[in-house]
Amino acid sequence: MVSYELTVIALAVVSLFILSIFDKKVLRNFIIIFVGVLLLQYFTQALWLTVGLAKWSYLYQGVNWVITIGRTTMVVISIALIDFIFSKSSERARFGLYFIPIIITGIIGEAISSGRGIIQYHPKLLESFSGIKIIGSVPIEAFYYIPFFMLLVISFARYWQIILDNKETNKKRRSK
Amino acid sequence: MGIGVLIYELSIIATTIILWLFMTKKGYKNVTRKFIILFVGVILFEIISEPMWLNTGFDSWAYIYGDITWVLTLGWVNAFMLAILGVDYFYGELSEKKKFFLYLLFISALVIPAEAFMISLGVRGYAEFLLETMRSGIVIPVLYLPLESIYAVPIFCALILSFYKYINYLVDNRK
Repeated sequence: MVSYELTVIALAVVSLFILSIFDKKVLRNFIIIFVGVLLLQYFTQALWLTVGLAKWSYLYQGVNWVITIGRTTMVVISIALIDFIFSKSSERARFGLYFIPIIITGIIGEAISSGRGIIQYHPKLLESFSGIKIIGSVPIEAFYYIPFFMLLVISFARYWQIILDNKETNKKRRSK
Repeated sequence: MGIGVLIYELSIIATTIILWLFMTKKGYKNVTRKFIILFVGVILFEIISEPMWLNTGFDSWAYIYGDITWVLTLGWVNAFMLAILGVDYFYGELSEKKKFFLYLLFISALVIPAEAFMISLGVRGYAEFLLETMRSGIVIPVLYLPLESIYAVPIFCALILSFYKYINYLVDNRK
C-alpha cells in the first residue's frame, strides 16, 4: 500500500516543482490550501474512513495528511490551469471555472481511492445518499459534495492569500 | 417542549430582523447581500455535515432537508453577524489578520453557550458515530459539552468566515 502514499507525495512534489517555475508563491499557496483542506477533513472525519494507509501518514484518528496532500495538489493544479488559460478573465469568472477541473479530478481521485478501499464512506453518510454510483463506488452526490467542500476551501485559501499579499505590499510600501 | 421551541424559533427570526434593521438604519452597505452570503456559507457547511447532527423537535415548517433547519441556520448567521459587527466596532483599526482571530473568538463566545442551551432544550444532539470520534471523554462543566465540540467551533467558523469575506470581496471587486 505504501506505493499509494509515495505516488501522491511524488505527484505533489513534481507539481510544485513545475508550478514554481511560473508562480513564485506556489508553495505558500499550497500550504494555505493544505490548511483549508485539513480543517474540513478534521471536522468531517466522522463521515469518512481512511483505511489501510501507512501509520506515519495519520495525523489524528482517521485524518491522513497524504490524503490532504492529494486533495491539495488537485486544487493547486486546477487553480493554476484556470489562471493560466483564462488569465484575462475576472477573478469572479475564474473562481467559477476552478470548479470544472476540481470536480473532474476530484471524482477521478475519489474513484481511485475508494476503488482501492482507502477511502470508505460511513454507512450513515451512505444512508443519506440516493445509492446511485457514477464511477466505481463514487456516489452521484459527489457532484455537489465536492464543489460544496471546495467552495469553502478555495474561499479560505483565496481570503488568506489576499491578506498575506496585502501585508507584503504594505511592507514594501513602508520600506520605500 | 412545543411552546418553548416555538419561542426559541421566533426569537432567532426576530433577532435576524432586528439585526438587519439595525445595520440598514446605521448605513451599513449591502446588508441583505451580506446576510445571504453568510446564510449560504452556513448552509453549505450544514449540508456537508448533515448526518453528524441531530436537530430534533423544531416545528415542521423550520426544516428544509433532513435535519437541516433554516431557523438554526439563521441562528448561526446571527452569531456570525454579531461577532463581525462587534469586532469591527471595537477593533476596527486592527489588521484584517488580527481581526480574523478576534471574529473566531467572538463567534465561539456566542455559539458555545447557544450550543449548550440547545442541547439542554433537547433540540440539538450529536450522532452516535460522531460521539465515537470524541474520545477524550472530557465534558466541560456547566455547559455539559464534550471538549471536542468546543474546539471544533473555531475550525468550522474559520471556513465559513473566509467564505463570507471572500465572496463579499468578489462581489465588491467585479474586475
